[in-house]
Amino acid sequence: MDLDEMKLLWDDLSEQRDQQQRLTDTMIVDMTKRTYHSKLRSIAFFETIGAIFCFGLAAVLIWNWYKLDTWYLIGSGLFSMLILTVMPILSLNTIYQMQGIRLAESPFRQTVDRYTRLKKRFFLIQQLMIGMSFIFAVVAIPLAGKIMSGKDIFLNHRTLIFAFVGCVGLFFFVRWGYRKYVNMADSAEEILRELQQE
Amino acid sequence: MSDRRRFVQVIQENEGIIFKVANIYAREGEDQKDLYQEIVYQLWRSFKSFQGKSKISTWIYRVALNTAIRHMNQLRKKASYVSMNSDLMDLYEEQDAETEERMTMLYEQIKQLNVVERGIILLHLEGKSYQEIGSITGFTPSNVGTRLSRIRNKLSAQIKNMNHGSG
Repeated sequence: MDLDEMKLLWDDLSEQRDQQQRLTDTMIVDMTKRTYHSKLRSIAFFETIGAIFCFGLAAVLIWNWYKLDTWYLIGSGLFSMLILTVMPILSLNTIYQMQGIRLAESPFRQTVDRYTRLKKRFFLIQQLMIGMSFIFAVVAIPLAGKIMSGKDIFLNHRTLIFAFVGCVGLFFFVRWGYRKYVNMADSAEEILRELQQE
Repeated sequence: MSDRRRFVQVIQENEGIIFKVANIYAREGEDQKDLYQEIVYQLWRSFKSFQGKSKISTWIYRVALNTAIRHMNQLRKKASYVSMNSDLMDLYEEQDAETEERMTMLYEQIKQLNVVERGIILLHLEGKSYQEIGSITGFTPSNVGTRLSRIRNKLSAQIKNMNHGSG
């Protein structure tokens, strides 16, 4: 079957399908109401809730900043601030840009280009966030200990064991996440290259 | 006539377009139905701003294809899904066996193409001119021609492989 035969078959099938009008008025009206949630919208909702939680934690950290009295606690505090503020903003920004694409006006080529780039970016941010959250899990314990009870447990025996376990986990995650990202980025690049072809 | 009434009429006259786009861009089953609904919803959202500057079918193709691309790039599958009206479930289930088989074979070939090629081949099979394909996709008419010739070669190779595989 070549393209011309395909076209004949297509016309035949289209004709058959056009004869069977299936959508009733009620079905169409139902579809114009938001009877289900778009996936993108629900992702935006959960990311927003997550971001608010992160900002709340960042506020608690700033409020108690004076309690961080050693270089390693201050370093942990700075790292935590970075994770709690910058990463959620980057992630939300990408999602809102995805939602902002005007589906009725953008030519197809532009839509493919923008979604491919944004998805690639979102995926990278997600991988970074999960990776960084392993480190965050390690530094958050001594930070919480200092802020809540005033005790410096940074070099505590249990904290060090936890840090070691966290690092092993991080290693495997990063290896897995990197491979996944490379696969995803490769296919995105292929689409972008295809769009540029003349 | 109210907007909603006019919209219903437009969709009924063009439901085949939505069906084909959903078939080409979504996985079979729930995913196709989900995309089908999403396209109708997006068409309704932009219906009031459609000012008739282009043909109604051009507008429908553009919204449908763009929605399909967005659907394919959803960030996490199954993030949230509320099942559709049960009547809609029947949309895809009333084909005779022969039509079903021919349709499956045709869509299988098209689905092996990449996202950009699928959009172009759909418009070509729908009988659109290079000019019209260009205005929907944003490629120049000559670029559309080049792409179609590449698609033609790709399809030949696919079919050859399929025949070798089955032979």
